[in-house]
Amino acid sequence: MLNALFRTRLAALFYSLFRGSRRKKPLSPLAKIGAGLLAIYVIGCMFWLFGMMWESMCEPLYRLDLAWLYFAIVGLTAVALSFVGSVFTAQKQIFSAKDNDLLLSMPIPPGAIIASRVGMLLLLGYMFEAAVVLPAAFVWCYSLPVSFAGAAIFTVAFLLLPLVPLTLSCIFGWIIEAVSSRLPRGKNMLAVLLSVAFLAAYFIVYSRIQEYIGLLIANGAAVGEAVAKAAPPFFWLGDAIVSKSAPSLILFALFCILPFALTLFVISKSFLAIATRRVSGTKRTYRAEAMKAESADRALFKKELSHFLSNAMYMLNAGIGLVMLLIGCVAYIVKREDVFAAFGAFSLPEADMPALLCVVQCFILSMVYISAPSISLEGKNLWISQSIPVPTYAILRAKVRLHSFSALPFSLVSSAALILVSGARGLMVPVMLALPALLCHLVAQLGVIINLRFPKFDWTSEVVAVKQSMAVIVAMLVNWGVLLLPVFIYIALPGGALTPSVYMALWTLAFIPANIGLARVLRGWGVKTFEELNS
Amino acid sequence: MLKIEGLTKAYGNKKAVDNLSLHIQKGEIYGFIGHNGAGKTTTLKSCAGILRFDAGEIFIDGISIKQDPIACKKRIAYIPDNPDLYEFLSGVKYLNFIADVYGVGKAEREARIAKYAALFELTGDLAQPVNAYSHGMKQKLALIAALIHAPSLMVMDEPFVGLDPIAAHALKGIMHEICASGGAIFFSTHVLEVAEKLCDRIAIIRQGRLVIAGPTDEVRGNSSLENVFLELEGENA
Repeated sequence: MLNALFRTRLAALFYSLFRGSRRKKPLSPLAKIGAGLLAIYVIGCMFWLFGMMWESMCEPLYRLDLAWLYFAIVGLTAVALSFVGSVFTAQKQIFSAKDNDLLLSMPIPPGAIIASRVGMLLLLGYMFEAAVVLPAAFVWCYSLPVSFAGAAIFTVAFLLLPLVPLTLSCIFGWIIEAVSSRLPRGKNMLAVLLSVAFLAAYFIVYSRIQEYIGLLIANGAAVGEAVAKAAPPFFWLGDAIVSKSAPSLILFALFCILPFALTLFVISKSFLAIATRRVSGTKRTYRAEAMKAESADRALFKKELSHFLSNAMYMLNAGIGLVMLLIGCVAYIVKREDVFAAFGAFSLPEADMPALLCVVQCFILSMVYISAPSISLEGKNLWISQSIPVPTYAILRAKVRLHSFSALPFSLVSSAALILVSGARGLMVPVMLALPALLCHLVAQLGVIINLRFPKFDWTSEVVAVKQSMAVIVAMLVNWGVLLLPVFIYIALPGGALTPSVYMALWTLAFIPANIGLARVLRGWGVKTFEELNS
Repeated sequence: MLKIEGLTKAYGNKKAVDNLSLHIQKGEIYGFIGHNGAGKTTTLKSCAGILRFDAGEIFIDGISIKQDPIACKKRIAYIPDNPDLYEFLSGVKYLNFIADVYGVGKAEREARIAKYAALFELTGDLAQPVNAYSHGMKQKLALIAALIHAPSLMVMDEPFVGLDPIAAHALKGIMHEICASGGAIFFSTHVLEVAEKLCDRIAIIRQGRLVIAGPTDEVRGNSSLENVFLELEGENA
């Protein structure tokens, strides 16, 4: 039974990634190659980032006779990344999945339902852990002598480790569900604020990572002592690998397995109560008030906005670029000199710094994908949009507008800040205002078009449409392509052929017909495709 | 009111509806009966302008749904077999959204929401989010939303499923009201007793093809609708 449930969840994951519900057939080989290349690129970037970090601390800690601390830090990092990556997914997949009622109606013990979902989350945990641990293993093998026993213990320990973030995710997911079902108002904003705070903390830590690594190596013994005292399981992890200590490995294994088993047991027992609880115990009684008639366009936009604001997961994932943009701008204003020093790696004259900042700003804006899952999110409600007496283009336009109107204020505010602080002059000023703004609208239109090509309506949780659908992956890839192509063209141009400001002005002008062209695609192909969609 | 001429719709190689023709007059309650997968929902969705069809024509008040879908949609209201509504909106926000897209004025929407919400005993729940509604409550909300623009044609797929007896009785009254004021009702049902008592005319469809259509008394003859349906199914099996 568990096997069948797990296979179903696995099939759902692969189906969500590689099949669209409209065509009911697998992706073409070309699309699969594209998806594969994208996966290799993303994995490569993560390996490179973590590899650089591990490389800077592996050998120095070994020399300080603190090799165990290296593995402890790798373990802590893997736990943090896996936890952040899976906490909201855990809540949605375990407690808020749409097929909970169906499965609970079948002769399946709640424990088996939980186990199948937790199994999927464990798989997700291994993926997150691999991004951290595989580069660490590579750096370890490359920098230091590795024995067979050490490698075997390393493997066992890191196979057990994802149980720790999984336990934390299940507990936090459970708390989020229990609390949010009692807090119907404002819970999404709370989740967003907490996530933004976490992200800000992450950026602060990440921007100072080299400083911290330096401090870590300089004060290795004291840090090691502190870690061993504050987080003994991670001392056991490192000690088991370095000293080949069986007691340390057993203690670490118990630390991973026992809380996990206990959590699984408790959640299984309360699953029925939580999964079948109504949204709120406090019922609001309707009192007739004067109503306001609005235009169809405004009603459609407000509907899209309500959907966006009702789902913290959608806001956080699709709008993460906006948060990053704000944090980046504040960091730039506060730490202007550091940012200039960091950009020194590009060997650009200071006069070209505004152009580089504008490209970075556009890159961050291209990560906003509010419109990319907007068609899929219609789900079973597609019939409403298709049966109302409004032009189909108005429905698509409302989705584009939600994206554009959400991103434009962030784009303009960040542009103004960058212009003021970077000292941009002349042609660069209008370019820095217009290019990101036009990009926002372009990305908004592209998102809808791509989602029309790769719609997905058979999701059981909106997480699938927002985070795991082909439309979102393709949209991100295309958005980066839209941005990187002009950059590569500029690099390929003979030196001094065009100044950055002139080149970017031409780029800005090119975005105008591109936007008009995409609007025409939406009016023609987009309208026809939407009308032929069938949920 | 509603004229379906040679409607044909295929999914891949399978014809869901094959050359179907029906004519629903003003003032008629028209029942549409068939086994599961017979093509009822495909026909109703085509009439509602949700589904593009391969051949044939559908006219609402003489207007082609292919040529002018928006004018047709303004005249009709569609209720699907499952009341999947926007769960992120409250009941009253959903009704206001529908009223806005149908261009219903402030006074009319206030009056109609008050009237139908009271009739379906949903007034007190309108402030609740739709995701807190039961299936029956969603069905009632879908019905109120369908009635908010005073449609002249209602196209309904199994409208009585999930409704409590009071709401079902209220819906039957509304169906008669619409017909009395010159509108028409076209609905599918598996409850043959309801169809027998409620409908002026009945059509039976099997494997996408019309088997029989006509006034309820003629279709039924001296037997019950259930017997006629079972006999027809047996003959065509």
